Amino acid sequence: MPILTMPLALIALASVPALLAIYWLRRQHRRRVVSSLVLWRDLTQPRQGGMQIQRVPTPWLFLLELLVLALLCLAAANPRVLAGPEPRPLAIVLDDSLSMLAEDGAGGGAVRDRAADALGEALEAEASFNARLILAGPRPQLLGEAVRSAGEARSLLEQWQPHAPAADIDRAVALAREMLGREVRILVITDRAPPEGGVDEQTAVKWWAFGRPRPNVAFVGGVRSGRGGGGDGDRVMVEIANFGDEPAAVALRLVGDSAPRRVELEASGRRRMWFDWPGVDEPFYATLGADALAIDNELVLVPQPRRVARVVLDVSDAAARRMFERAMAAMPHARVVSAPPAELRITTGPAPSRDADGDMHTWLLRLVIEDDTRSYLGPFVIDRAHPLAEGLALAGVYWAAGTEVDVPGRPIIAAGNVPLLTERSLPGRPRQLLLRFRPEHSNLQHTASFPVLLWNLIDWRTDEMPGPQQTNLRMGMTASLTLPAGASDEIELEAPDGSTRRLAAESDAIHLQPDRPGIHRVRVGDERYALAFNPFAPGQSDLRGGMTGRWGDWYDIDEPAHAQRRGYRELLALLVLLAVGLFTLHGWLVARGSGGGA
Amino acid sequence: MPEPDAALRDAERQGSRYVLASPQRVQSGLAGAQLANRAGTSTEFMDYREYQPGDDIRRIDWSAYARSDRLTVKLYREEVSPHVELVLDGSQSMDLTGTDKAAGAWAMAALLATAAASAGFTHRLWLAGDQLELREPGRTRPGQWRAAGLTATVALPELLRRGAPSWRPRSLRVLVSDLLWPDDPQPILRRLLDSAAGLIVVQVLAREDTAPPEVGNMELIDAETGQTRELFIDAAAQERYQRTLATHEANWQGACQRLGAVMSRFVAEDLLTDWNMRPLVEARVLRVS
Repeated sequence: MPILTMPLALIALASVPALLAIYWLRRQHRRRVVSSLVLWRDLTQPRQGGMQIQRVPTPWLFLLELLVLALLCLAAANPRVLAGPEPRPLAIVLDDSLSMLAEDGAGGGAVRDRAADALGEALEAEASFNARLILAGPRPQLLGEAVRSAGEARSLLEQWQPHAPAADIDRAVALAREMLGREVRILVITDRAPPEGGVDEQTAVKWWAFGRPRPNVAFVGGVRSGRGGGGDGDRVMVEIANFGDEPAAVALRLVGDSAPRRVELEASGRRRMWFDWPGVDEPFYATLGADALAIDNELVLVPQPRRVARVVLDVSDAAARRMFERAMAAMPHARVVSAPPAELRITTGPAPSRDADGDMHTWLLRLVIEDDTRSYLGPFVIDRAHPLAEGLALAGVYWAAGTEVDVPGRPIIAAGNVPLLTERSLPGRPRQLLLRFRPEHSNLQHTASFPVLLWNLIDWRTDEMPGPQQTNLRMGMTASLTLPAGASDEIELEAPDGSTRRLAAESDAIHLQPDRPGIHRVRVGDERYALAFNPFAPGQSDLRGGMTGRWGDWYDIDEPAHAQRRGYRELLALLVLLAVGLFTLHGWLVARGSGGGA
Repeated sequence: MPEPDAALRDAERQGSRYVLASPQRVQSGLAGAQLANRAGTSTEFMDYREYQPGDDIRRIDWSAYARSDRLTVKLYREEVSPHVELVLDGSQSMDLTGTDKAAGAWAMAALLATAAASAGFTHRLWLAGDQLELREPGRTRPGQWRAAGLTATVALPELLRRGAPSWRPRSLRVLVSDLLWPDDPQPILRRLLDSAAGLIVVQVLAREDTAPPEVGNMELIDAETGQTRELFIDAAAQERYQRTLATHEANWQGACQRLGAVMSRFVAEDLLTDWNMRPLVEARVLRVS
């Protein structure tokens, strides 16, 4: 069955309204637009009913004109019909990991460049092919559309810029098979030898490696933390690894250094170094001296902004209020305020009504001090998956609360089947926590568990405040950034190279997994956030496993005689020739005066 | 003929009478899976095992604790993430000229979104146009959605083949479509079910789809491809059309049953007139609130 590769060109049929008008006036049938012709497939050649209509005879010239125009429109739509055999589909799996950027040290260029050249030459030698390019990163990804010539492939290969922290070649091969079928020929381009055991001959995979074993020194870790005092600068830790079998001395240069520092590393050794960085609001940059792989010689760490939750204490019970005030005073990321706006409200007031308009911004911790209480010694059951439960231990704690078992919300802490702390979260409502606790009959507030619990609460609240949860990440990690309320329509991401693109927010947060290291800046309305991504990929920085070679072969899977499958052939030239021929015939008929109704 | 935006408002009003029910049977994998083997928090009891950090502490069996001095939890069939990914087929066949099909499809999506919200589910609406794009992130009430034209030329199976978007794992998936593709239903359903907690397929047809044309010469035009077919329609042709439609739906029903999905059919004009949700209520997809 012919297919149209440019069906929109059929719009050109609008150029024949006069002819169509005549055509339709002569016809005796009604038109009906149906959702799909799928349900009419069965009626193409029935013996009775559904018979295809015989066209009403029309004058020769009209038919010729219509035919010429139809042919030209059809030609513009670039139809293709099933043609003779064509090569089995080819899937080229490109290792997208950053080790492909390693230089060979002999002036041969990067592995990626050598591989791209070799691939281009190999494709030029192919008589014909139909290839899909698949990038093998942590997850496989298609690169562009199918290519049928070496020129197209070379053009597409320019978009192959390996930066991934890992390459899952098995998944990429599996994707190729799923997409292109079991007859697909697969060519893997990488810098390492195939996995132990080589390439299975039953899998029709060719494995070309272009790597070379080379020593390399790389940044494999980096942390930046504030000192908490304000104005003292940040503390920075960097970790450098020597992926070589000999000791190495490398030049380390920090931003602002006038001269590089010399760092000695043992063979296969690692070294951690700490620095004080006074530029609290500035990025911290460090570079290593040139070696086989440049991308892992650069490190950047941006400040981690501290988020402080404002807390309103609306607690009428004096003992309970003192208890919260003391705990809050010890928390650097909480600040007690006397009135809203606030991120957290701790209250002994009544429960808000279900229909009340909720301020999504302010979470509520409702302290319920019941009259009829019992002091519980345990067994305490804690939902360890909950953010409030991290590091919480209640051994030896007396906790006084009521005896009611049926309490709304999901229990976080319970004494037996009596919920003591529950969480309730409804769409469109702020998070609500219910704490059942009578201070004068309890010793919880005199143990470490109480500040731990409140610390976790403040931590949880600040984590969900606008801004990134983590500003320094390694490649492959996903950065989560909580959006300010109502600002989700104006999100712009600026890549390290300065290019920008707009992002769509799927919820109250966006999640980024960039494919380039460096500083990525996010603008949300008037707010600006910086996120630093570093490679930190020891598996890729270790180039000692690099290898050059070719393994495996393609073979004809089941039927060698049918190693090629049928493809499509273009009809453009044929249709144009036919239209010209018919037009010539039309002119001859007009000249002869034999047209029957033009 | 109701405007889609008006239908959205009506749908929200009608949808507030219903609550989306959590699926009792949950997918745990791909082909052939009928029941989730993972434990969860639904009401269908499955087994006991020792308490582990992270378990819902409401599920602790205190009788067993009293007997054995060990914390034991009751295991239930896995419950879904309280989130619904609504996928609306945006192909041209969904906007069949002269019918209420587009309004009906939008209304069905809005009604299900309203029922999901009533059940405490969050939701997102994806429009399968020329790309599978996020149309509504779930912040706007369905009655205030703006119904876009359904004009895509790319069929939904093709979009899914290119790759599904980042649907939330263990969420409930809902497909609203006329399902009029020649493709085998199973690969489509499997892609929709990938890491999903359940799948609801709602077929929305126009009345014209369910009734073949009258007797006579007819030129049929495919709404999506523009292809035409000229036929003489008689009683036998009408009967064959009905048979083909029934077979097509039976294929989808069978595929849904095999993969643990729920499928219901609606006629857009009837839906917008009587808002009868009985098929979805009987299928335990909706509950009357």
